[in-house]
Amino acid sequence: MIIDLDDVRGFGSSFLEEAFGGLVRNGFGVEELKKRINFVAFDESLKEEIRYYIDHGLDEA
Amino acid sequence: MSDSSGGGVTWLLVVVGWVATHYLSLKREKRKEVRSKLDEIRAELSALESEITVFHTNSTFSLEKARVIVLHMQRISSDVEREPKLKKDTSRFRFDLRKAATLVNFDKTAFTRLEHDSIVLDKVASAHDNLVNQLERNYILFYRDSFV
Repeated sequence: MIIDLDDVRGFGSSFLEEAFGGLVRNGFGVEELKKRINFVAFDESLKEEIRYYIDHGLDEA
Repeated sequence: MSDSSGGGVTWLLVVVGWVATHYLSLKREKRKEVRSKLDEIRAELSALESEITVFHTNSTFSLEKARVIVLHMQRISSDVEREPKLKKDTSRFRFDLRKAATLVNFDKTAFTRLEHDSIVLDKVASAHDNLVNQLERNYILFYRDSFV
């Protein structure tokens, strides 16, 4: 699956955490998500932030 | 040395001199351009921090202010991304700033008015400072050994 994050008028971290950290909390495996989802984003910090929430979720944020 | 070879050397010196002057001038202009971009980004970051402070210390949740913050943050981050001489190692600091400002207390259902000395605003100030420091570090490192 490819998720294109460009051409959106910004993301709040609360949304990113809920969307991607939420997948892990709802039972999706971290490695499975990393393997299946590819992110397209001009802004490298967005991809880094999403990877962080997939790895750590809200607990360590 | 004959007149013709002397003239050739003169022309060669003229051309080499022109190329060197042109090259150094371009470098100087690029440096000024990057400095100007960095100053612009710093001004935008300060404005963003003010917007974040107003949002979190407001008595009620403002969707309009939340949207402005998210959009402003994205524009600044994209500006940094577009400047290869400045963006090195800033990704984590941009992520930290976005996280500090928009991870907690950024939802209408859970919004509470924060004090100016709150942990959230403290984290925002630190993240802002860290990003500015990294941008300045990148500028200094890139031009440190340059004499133009």
